[in-house]
Amino acid sequence: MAVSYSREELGRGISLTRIYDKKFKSNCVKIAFISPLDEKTACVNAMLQTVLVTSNAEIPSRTKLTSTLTGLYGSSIGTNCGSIGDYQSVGLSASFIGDDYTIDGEVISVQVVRQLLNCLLRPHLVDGKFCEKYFTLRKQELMDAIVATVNDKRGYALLQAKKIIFEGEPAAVSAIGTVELAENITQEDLLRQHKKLLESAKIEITISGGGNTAAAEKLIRDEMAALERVSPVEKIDYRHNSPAKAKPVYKELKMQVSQSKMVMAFKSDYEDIYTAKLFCMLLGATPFSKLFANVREKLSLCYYCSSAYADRKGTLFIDSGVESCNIEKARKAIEEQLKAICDGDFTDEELENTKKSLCGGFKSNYDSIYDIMGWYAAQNTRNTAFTPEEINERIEKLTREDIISCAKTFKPDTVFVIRGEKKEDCDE
Amino acid sequence: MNKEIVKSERLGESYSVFHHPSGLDVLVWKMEGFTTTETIFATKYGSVYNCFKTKESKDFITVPEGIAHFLEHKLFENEDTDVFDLYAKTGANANAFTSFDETAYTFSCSENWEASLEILLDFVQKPYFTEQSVAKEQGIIGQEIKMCADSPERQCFYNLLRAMYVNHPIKIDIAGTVDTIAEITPELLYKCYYTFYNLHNMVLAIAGNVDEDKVMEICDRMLKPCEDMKLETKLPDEPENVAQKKIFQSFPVGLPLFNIGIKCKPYGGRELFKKAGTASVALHLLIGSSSPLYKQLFDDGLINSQFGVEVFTSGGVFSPIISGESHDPEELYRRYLAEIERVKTEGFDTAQFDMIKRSMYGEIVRGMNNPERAADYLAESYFENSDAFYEAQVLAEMTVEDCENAVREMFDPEKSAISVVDNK
Repeated sequence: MAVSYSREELGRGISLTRIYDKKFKSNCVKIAFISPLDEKTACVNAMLQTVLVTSNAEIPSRTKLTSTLTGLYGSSIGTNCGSIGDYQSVGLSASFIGDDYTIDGEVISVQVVRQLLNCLLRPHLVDGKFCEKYFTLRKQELMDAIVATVNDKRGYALLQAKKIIFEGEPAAVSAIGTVELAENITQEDLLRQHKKLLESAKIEITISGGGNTAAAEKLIRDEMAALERVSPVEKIDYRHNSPAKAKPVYKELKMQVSQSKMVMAFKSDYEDIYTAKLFCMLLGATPFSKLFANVREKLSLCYYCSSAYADRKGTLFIDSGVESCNIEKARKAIEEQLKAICDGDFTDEELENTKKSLCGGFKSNYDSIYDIMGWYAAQNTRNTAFTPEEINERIEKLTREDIISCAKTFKPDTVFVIRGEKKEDCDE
Repeated sequence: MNKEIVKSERLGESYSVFHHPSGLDVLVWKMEGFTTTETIFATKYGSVYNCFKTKESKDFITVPEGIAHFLEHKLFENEDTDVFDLYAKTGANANAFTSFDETAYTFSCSENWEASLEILLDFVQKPYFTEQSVAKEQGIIGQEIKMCADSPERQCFYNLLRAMYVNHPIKIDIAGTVDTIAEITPELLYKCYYTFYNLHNMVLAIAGNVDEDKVMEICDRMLKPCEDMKLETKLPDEPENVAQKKIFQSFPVGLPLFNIGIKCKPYGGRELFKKAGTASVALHLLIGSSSPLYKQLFDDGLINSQFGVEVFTSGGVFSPIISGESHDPEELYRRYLAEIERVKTEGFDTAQFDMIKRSMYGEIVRGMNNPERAADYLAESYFENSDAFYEAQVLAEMTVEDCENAVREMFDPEKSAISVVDNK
């Protein structure tokens, strides 16, 4: 592969990852602040990044900042807010085309990265506070975004299910908070949290793409060296397996939906995450998986029925879209498929095909700057730096016995259902 | 076999077009250094083509709504096996989609692209429908229709199309309804298949890690020559005016959603790309995120980061559309129309125009980073008798006067409509 990867600890809890592949015509620079998920600060962080991206001390007008970036060949600076297990990652990232592809050979990379750093480090303050107009607008926008999570019923079901699945753990907290918390955010909260993130959050910087970004990288290094940081910055261990509940929980929520949603969670302390990923894929993450082939195709019980594995929490999710009258049947059918794998009821061919699919997916990360960033970001959270090929070699060696023993460790934890209130006809 | 090379000096890219004797055109874009192979085998057949004839039929026939999408689902089932089981052996990630005017079968892989291409060419040319399998699919698609009915964004968009179009089938959901798909039979599926899945009406587009000699060797072996059936499709006459100016629907949503569209006359071929490119730049200048109007709307809390603009061109319709969430969609609508009238007399700022033009050029360059996007460019442009680099050329040659003329010609407030979905 023509990809070069390097990772450097800049000290004081700041890491720099560089991913270079000359085939790419554009670049992405991401600066993320990682801190423990906490209901109150998560909400403040989520709002903070949207205020920071709006303007900065050098360009205090949102319109002017947008115009400046648009004029730099449609460059953009965006926000990133999400959870990684029990941690929240917030920050900004800049995307821009390579300097070699500008019409007159202009060097835009330094200009874009300078604005990214301005937004993060030198916000637009008036009398020591964030611009009141943007503060008010962004607060309203955050509240709107929280309320709008209900629009996507599948995502909403997962969000609500996580509150039950991870009850009492940081991962139960929404990465954007609640309307009540958002409504009560003050200027002081934002300023305090901004200072705190710069001083003590783990900072992950990633530069990815195909252009020459040496000058932009120097700018980032200089700015990071000048940051006032606490010492030592708390080390992060991302993997906190969620303990399975002593007795599985079943909860329902009624809503005005045409198709009901069911989220099931199973938990395990199984050590090797790649075996667990392969098991998860065999169960329900391909169109030839157990769940797709049986629960959807043969039994026609769900329109979608797929599995996903959250390795940092040791949790397997199975989410499905199902008619209300089929919820119980679908649940049983899903459990039967899980049991089938525990009983070794799958062929060598099924396993080999699943390996091919998983390995092919890993290799395809090479063709997108965002995917390859995602790959190495995940590696960083595991304190590893495996290439897709290295992981594929390990997967090739996994046996059906490995899959069976892994599957047997998953214990039922939660079933969460959003049941449609609309009357529907079901073919019995 | 004829071969043409399509090149863009400006973008430093090129691809080959092969006119295969079977009747199929094969487009191959080798992208150096990329690992994946992205393939699209598509037919110019989407949900709007429900009325058609060929040289073998005397009159136009009409088929049930949603049949193109239904056919796409059913083609994955062969007589002896499920297509996904075949792909499972090669490790490819296969999919398909039906739009208003196209049905496409795709795969993406980082190994064994040759074997996956054979599977693709084989199953798409081998239909197999039975009463039993059609009945089963009616259940599955019925569930898909119900799932889509829970999406307020989708409802808001279709409502806008219903408000703008009086007769055009664009206003009908691509999947049809539970009632219309109940009318589908194996005979109707075969009828549609043999009409639209004729290689003269299709394209094979491949981008990424690929070898064109090997592609042609597989095509020579797998493609079944077709006679050109002189397919004709018919769309109902559509008046210039909208069906209704406003349409509302009550739905559980966080914040009111809106779609605002302007009905324009349809364009085709290269003119479509030229008009769409110009209208797109004009739309960004009117209400894009760096425009004066956007600033006012943002400052007044009438839009948020969910706001978006697009020039919708599909199935023979053409409409600049803005969409998003707003506490007061009607006020936003009023201001948008007022801005259109202002620009008609005062024109655009030249510096702003240059900025948007550069931005959209950057977007095209970014698209070349990605084999999936490249394969899309190939197929989309082919069906409009254009090429994958024409959009960049249109942009390079565009002037601010072109955009001002586009606003005068295409942005007629009288032909606008608003769709709102809210909790009321």
